[in-house]
Amino acid sequence: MKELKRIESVEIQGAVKGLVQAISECHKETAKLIIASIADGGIALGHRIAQGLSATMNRSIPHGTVNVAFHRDDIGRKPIPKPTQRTELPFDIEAATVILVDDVLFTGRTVRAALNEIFDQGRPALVELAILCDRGNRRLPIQPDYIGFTEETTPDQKVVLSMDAEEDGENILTIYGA
Amino acid sequence: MTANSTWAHKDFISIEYLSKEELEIIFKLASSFKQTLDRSQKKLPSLRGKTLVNLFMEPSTRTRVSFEIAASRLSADTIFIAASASSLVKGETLRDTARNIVALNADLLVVRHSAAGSALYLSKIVDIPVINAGDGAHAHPTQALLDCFTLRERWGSDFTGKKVTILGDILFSRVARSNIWALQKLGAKVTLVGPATLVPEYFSSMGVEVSHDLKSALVDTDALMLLRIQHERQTSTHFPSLGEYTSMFGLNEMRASWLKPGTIIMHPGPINRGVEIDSKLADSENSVILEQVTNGIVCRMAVLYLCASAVNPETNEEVI
Repeated sequence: MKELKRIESVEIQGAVKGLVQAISECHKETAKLIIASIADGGIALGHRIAQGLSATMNRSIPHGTVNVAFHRDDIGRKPIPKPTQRTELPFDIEAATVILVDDVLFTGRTVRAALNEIFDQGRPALVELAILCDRGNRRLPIQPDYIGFTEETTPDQKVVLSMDAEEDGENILTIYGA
Repeated sequence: MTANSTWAHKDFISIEYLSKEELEIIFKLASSFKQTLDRSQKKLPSLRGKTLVNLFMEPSTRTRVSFEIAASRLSADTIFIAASASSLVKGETLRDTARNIVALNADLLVVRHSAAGSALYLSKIVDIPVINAGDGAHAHPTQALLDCFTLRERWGSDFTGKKVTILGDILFSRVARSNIWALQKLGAKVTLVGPATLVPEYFSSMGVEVSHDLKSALVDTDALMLLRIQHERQTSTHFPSLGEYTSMFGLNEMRASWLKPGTIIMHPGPINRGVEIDSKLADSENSVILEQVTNGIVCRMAVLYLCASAVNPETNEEVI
């Protein structure tokens, strides 16, 4: 597969800032706000968003991870789940507002699995979805609440984000295609 | 291992047929399952809608219960068929029993039988995954998995330079055979020790050291696996009495003092306290016997998951 497009650090950093701003504006008054990243792709982004929100909102916003491996619906096709970070929500999600974070939104199947995993842990009051890159081609009725940017892709293309959890690290999003 | 790794085996019959890489796939998966054990919601939906039949032609408590718990943690339904309650006592053959189980729409078959090769035989005549839960004195592959998984949690994935000693009734032990295959694939050196009648010299053809001198076998070992004396498989007497076995080969405090500090003591259970091992040692801090039981659940979850999801190469296409 050859590289079709590359989005560099500056644009990505701007998108992350936009996400932080949008979330903080919507949740000024929300007492129990939690960031939950989908492992592994969303972890660096979730970390950055939690950091940004803590600074903007002047209070500590907790950050956890959600492992979707065992809720996937493609057993028998890609049967062995990648070893990813375990689900770790080191706080009570009961009645909390959970912002689910992932790097790229594609079919929506991963988000569906993440919702199931979250509800195995408790019953949040509200779950919203924050995505850095929406690449379209949804297969389920799932839409993000906060979007960094949108890219038009075809289903056979690959979108890969390499992101550093620290703000000054290098971030590159690459789209590969035939 | 990549996201697209697939599992090629329909059945799980013996460790002998697996590569080191395949063992590693099982261990990594088991390790992910272990992380879910302490959650309040322990059920994972992976095998929802599947039915597992436990066909046990020999008595078993822990293996059967372990498979049942493993299946229920993955949301599968479990049916238990015991030899005494099945039509085998009415003269039905094993083949017919198995084919009837398939006709009842079962998705997975776990089988324990006193005849070596029975699981392999069934795997050839039914098209659902067959998992060997012990066939005669041949193999008990999930026991070897959980033993090695327990050691791997302490030693990491490479056992090179480690020595594991298996003590006791090797001749009749399917646990020993499966462990020899698994430990060697992972890089460990294996020594078998016990009375000459129960540890025949021909085992050295499996690449292990055979010894009848307990002290020399124990002094430099990193893990000691004790085996139960299997009265039920012995048709002739292989030692004068249980008491004599205990006095010569039972693990007591004096013999345990030969071990290096921190040597891991293992036993597949059920333990005959005061026969293979002193009660105190079975409960000592070096004993991992109960940890083995817990690890049995997650290793069996991994096996069920992989067998249930084995990819048919013809339909192995990328899906979105």
